[in-house]
Amino acid sequence: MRASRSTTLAGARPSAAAPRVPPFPVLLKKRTEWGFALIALAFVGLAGQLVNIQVRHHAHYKQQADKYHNRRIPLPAARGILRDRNGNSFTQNLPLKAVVANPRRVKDPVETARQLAPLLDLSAETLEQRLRREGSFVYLRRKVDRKTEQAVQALNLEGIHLEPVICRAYPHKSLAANVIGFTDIDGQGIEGLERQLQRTVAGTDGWVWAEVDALQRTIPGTVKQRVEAVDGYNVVLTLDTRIQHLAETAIEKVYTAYQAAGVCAVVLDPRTGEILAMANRPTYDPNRVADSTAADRRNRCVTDLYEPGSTLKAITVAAALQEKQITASTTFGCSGIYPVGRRRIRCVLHAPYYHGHGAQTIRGILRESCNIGTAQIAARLGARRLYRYIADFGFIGDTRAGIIGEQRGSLDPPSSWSAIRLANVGFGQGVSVTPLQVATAYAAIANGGKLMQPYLISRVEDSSGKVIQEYRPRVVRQVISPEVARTVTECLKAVVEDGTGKTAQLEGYTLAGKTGSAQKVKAGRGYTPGCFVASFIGYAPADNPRVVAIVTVDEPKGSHWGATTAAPAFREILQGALWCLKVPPDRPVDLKRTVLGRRPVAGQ
Amino acid sequence: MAVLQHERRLDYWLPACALALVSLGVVAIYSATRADGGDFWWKQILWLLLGVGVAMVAILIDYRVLVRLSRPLYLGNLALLLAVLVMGRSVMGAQRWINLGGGFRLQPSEIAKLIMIIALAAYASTHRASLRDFWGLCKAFLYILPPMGLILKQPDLGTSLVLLAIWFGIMFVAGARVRHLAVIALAGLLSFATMWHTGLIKDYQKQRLVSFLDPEADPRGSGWHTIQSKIAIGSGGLTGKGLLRGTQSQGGFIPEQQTDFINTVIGEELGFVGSALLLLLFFGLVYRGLRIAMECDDLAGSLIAAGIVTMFTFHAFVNLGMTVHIMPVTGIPLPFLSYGGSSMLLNLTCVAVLLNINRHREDLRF
Repeated sequence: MRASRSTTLAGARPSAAAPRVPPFPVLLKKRTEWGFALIALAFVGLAGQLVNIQVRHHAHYKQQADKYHNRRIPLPAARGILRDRNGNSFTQNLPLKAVVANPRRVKDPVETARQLAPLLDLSAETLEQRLRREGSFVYLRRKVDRKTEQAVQALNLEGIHLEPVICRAYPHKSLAANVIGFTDIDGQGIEGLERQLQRTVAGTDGWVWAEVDALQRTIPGTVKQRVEAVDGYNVVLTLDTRIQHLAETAIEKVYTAYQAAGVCAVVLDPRTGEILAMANRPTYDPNRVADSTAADRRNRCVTDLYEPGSTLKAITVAAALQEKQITASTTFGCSGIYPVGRRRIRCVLHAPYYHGHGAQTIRGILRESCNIGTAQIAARLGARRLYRYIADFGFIGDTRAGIIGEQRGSLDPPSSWSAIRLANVGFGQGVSVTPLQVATAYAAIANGGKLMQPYLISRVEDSSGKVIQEYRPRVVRQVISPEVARTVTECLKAVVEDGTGKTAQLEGYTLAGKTGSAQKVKAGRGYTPGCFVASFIGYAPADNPRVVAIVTVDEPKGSHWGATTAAPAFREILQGALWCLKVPPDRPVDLKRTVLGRRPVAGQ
Repeated sequence: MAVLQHERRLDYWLPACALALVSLGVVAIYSATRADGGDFWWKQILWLLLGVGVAMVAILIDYRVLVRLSRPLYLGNLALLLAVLVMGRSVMGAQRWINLGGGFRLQPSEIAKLIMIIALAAYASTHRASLRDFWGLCKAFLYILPPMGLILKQPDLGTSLVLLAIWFGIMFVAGARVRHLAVIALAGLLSFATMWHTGLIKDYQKQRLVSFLDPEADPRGSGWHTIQSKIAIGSGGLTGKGLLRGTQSQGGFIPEQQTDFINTVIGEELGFVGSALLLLLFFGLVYRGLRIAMECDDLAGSLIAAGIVTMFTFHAFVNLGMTVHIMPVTGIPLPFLSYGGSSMLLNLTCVAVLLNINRHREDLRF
């Protein structure tokens, strides 16, 4: 066998067999040495490259490694909760997860997208496109429920991970939605108190600087720096969800019955200026903002200027009394038409006053809402003084309640007023105000002439309940004397007793109130025919008022009278609010039908 | 020359280097797979024990017997490689294993390397004169074509390249003219270029070469391995981040880390110091292997030793080179360190064959 011959010493073979071959040991040694040299070179090359990347460019690769494995993991701060005065929450924080991707770490975008698409309810194409984005961070889905979260986790896809997010939810849906507002997906307040209080409730997000593995999970024990999140402050509002709910239920009925463009109601505590309810229709669900329009989300109580109409008459009367231009017994005549300069003003007349209201005191003027009588009072008072009182009652500028989007009431300066203009202003035409301003002004009358600053935020607390900031009732000014206030209240009581406001009468409580109905101003000049804002404002119990409320109905169809449209809703709100606030009744409940009309029970 | 050396002692440096490398490998495997809760390190120790047993047996078999049996071994090897293609198991798109039952799998392409070394050494030692002739050398090249073809078919480009390297190594030491070898290498490159254009080279293989030149072109695709292993090793610095504390290794940034990319663990966690130690151990192994080749008085023995050294060097250089971006990514494991049973058995057997050659050198004196 050939193989067996190989065991003989090659060098000992006759050299004649292969004359050109150098002797075996010499050539082998030479070749082995060459081979050794080559191998040594290869190893030197390897060592050189190791020095190159491990020593020379170490810093570069270190930085690269840090980029790949060190990550700033957010610790979201809990957004402050907005509560009502009794501790009921308007907002809620849901700890959810966001599905995010690090496109750099996604090896197979097509396959990853295919697996994730059904879970995230997105098309595979959309996902794939996101997975191919530049950079190291992209949201795939901002909020996922627990089930999806677990399903994504179970897939264990490289480059896909979950990140904690806190989602804002509104458990009461549309309740006070126009006041509370909402946040966007990033937790930025967009409207309402959520926007106004952004800095207070947002808190500061914390973060962990830690190493993560290829699946972006924190590696235990590698936390380099941890900054805890500082939770946002909780805010206690002056609102009372019970009254808020009452008000919303009441105006909802008006909204649908009269197909109004909008209805709003404000409930105030006249002694403090606290806003107990602020209701709006139309409204929206802040959990589903996309389904609503801007008109649905407006807080009409502060954003919509309207002409107060007759409700302003009480202000004119109060001003004239305070200025001692008239007394409670001064009489004014009304024949239905009254010339002022070259123009004439009219009273709306119905039975039994087809030929004017006749001679009447302020009590009669307010009770019958007499334009002509009010015009005479305004004329006595004069433009300058009327303007001052209107300003003092808080109709010029805003209420400083600090509610976002609040419009400023406006009135041109008195120096330019003509006689007819003075008369018009006297009964509330040509003045633009917000429902909140009217409520605030009436609250001043209810409060013995003391104008209180209306406010919505009661206090700010940190997460442990420590009070950070507290808002106290603030007296803006004494507008009229307590005596004048009492006189006006008596007149307003008469309005409800047997005047235009009878439909608002409460059971068990005396009420002072005033109807209002004004044509809507056209953009530019003049009035829109057939378009009215009907309203009712009042307070109860009349002699020791605890609640002031206003209901304004924008463009009611079928009737434009405050007494028909606004008064029933007002009545419902006030009746409920007094009950909620445990206000003792100050008037027997329909004496004739109840106590006096009671028959002895059989057998007694 | 070592003619007067009569002691029949074993070369202790050789097994010492090999065992040191295996130990380093086990530690690295432990570190690489710890996060997944894998028992790879433990299995590797079992393979080591089995390998040492096989090596003990191999050391007792006179290598000359193997040389004598080179022809049946060669044919048997071809049969095994054919069997793989017919009944082999497919793992990661390649058929490389034959199931032996009981969870054991045989990778015939590993054994093929040693058998080809023996067969080529036997051939070269008997056809030494003809190797000086170009056509004679070409005839010797035909010898490795059938097994290479079968291995390429699996497909296993890496191992067929190893066979090629072994052929060059043995022919070089056997005395083939350098310019003849150069012509054959050139022809090989030309045929490679042809294969590239005719589509015989698979797209994924092309991509590896392209991404070797510019890994940043597709950093999360074909360039991922190159970039990540460089980052891991580079961030290790001079002294490393400490065992089990490599952020990249522990974070699972490098796929296949316990097999082909085991060096990244050492580079990252033990730093340049560890990498240099690794190189030194390999160098020691190769150096002792070459000494054995040189000191052996039998041409076949010398050529076997040279073949084994070539194999170790090629493996080590290509594998380490791939992790530090001086070679493209090819699936060639790092001998003694990468996780893998067949590879472990073969490498330890190779060490045993080297020791056997060393042991028998003085026998010829008498």
